[in-house]
Amino acid sequence: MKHAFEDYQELLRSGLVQAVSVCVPTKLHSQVVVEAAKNGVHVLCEKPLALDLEEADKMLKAASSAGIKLSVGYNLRFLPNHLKVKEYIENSRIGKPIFAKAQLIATGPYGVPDAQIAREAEKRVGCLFDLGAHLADLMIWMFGKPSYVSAYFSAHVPEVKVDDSALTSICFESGLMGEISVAWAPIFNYSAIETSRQIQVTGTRGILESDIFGPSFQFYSTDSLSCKIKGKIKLTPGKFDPKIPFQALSWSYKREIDDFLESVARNKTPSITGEDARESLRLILAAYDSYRNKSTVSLS
Amino acid sequence: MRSLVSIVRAEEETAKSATQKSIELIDGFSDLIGKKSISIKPNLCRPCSSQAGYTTDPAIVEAVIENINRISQCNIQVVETNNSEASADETFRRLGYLDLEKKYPNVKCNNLSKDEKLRVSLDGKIFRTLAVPESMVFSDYIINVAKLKMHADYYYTGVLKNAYGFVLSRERRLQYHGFMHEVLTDLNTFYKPDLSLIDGIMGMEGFGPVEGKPKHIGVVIASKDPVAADSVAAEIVGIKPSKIKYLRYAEKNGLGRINDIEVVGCGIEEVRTKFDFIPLKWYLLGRISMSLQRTSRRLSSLGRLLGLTRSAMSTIGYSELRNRLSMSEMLRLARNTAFRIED
Repeated sequence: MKHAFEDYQELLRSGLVQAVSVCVPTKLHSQVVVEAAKNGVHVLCEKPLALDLEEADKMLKAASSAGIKLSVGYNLRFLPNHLKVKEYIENSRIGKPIFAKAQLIATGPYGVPDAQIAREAEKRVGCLFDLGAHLADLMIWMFGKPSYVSAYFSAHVPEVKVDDSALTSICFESGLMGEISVAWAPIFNYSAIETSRQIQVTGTRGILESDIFGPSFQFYSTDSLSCKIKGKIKLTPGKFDPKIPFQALSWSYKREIDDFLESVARNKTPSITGEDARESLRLILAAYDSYRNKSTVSLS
Repeated sequence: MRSLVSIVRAEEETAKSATQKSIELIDGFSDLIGKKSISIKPNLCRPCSSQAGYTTDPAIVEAVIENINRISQCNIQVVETNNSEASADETFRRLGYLDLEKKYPNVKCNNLSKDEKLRVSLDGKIFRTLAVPESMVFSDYIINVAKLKMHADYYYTGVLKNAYGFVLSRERRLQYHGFMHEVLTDLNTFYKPDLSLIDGIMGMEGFGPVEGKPKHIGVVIASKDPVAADSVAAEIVGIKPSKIKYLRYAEKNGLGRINDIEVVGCGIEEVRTKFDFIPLKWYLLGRISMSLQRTSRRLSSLGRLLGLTRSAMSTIGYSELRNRLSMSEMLRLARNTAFRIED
């Protein structure tokens, strides 16, 4: 090993690195990213961007003043099925989108030993914050700006003091109505929860259902081959195997890193910007506000 | 209700009018209104002319296009994949199909081999997944315009066999010969033609579909039922449809009828001719070749299944495997591994 550091600041100041991936807990993102920016080091930051908008704005401002690239790890956007679904929506393959429902069930803190569950849950802030961040990002990426949000939360395990299930309704500026349902549940059988990990879009002429972790999506439209056969057809983009669900997920991480590095090397805007991540954070925080105040929150 | 098949006498010069008449006789485009994207699949298995008995006469495809344009204004793509001698683009060019693009602004010749590939989960007779060109997914009406030929291995080739051209990989096309009846049923279920036409003006006898001799028949055949169209065409050239295994299999799986057909236009007897089949010894050698291909593929899949079983048993053990998968799931997995194809 040529260089080793005990302090991240020392690393950032060393001039040895051009870019870093920030994978510390969310509450520490801001201080590390701001420090990196000060030293002209480009950043790929884990999601969610920050715990609140103030922290997020600090990071964006620091990145912009220093002229560094800031990208955020919403890797699901790079999944081939989500890319196809977005393309089909943009090309009106299902007509005008009316409803979008995103659902994600994951083990979350319930995958750790009982004694550590409460701590782990708190570390993750809440299941909407932990899982919903990905779905909020996908929804905004696919459907544009949200205008109103209202949410309901629940916790089913007494020692867990944060939400372990959440239902968020969103009205988008386009008129589309969306819903994000997330829950932590200790269900380990992949095939059993496969259908609980989907984003479903209903349009005026068809339906798209995309597996949250890839690689496949289902497609039906009144003017496609699908209406000639049995209804929805399950499609998997070219090089991926529908039998290997995590193959595409691994690929999405690689694409996320490649995209970031390319933005640095070619001095172009990364596909997922800090501003994008701020938007999804704003949506998630508005959902928490809505639950606390028992009211619909305007995002306009 | 009986399946309706039209037979119309046709020569090279009258191909267009005969095609139109054959479609009218069966009210072929009664369900066309409201369709937006139509795919026409001719048989372009070689860059060789229709007069030599190889490929679909472009005049028949042009007649179909003119008929469509009279009824509705939609996008039409003439589709084909690369063949073993030339790319589909080159074949389109050499056979005059590109003139259709110039003449009709809503027509495009589309080389499906260059299309973006998606894998569709079929759960079919043989295919578990099938590689499909994306542009076909957006097609809401399919017209199969086949060529009437003898096939050295399966006696006859027409509409159902024309769908074999939808298999995107040329290498895989060679591997699937041993499973032809299941493959054709799956392909024609997915790419089910809304209208089937057969160019029987100049057919091919003997070592078809590519090494036979041209033989004049002088008909165009049309039907909404692809199995019925093939059955009538086979009957015309002296082949009993019930002898063709893939037709029987397709009928059994609901793709159409071999019997119970109403023929309109000319009667079969009026246009009947006799195709010379290949010598029996060559046919039998072909059968043995097919059987060996089928058996070797099955044995190879079985070997793979045994390897996977050993891995599962040695890593997690039988009892854990039983905990994770029910017996029916295990059997399904075994069946899919041993008997299904991932295209």
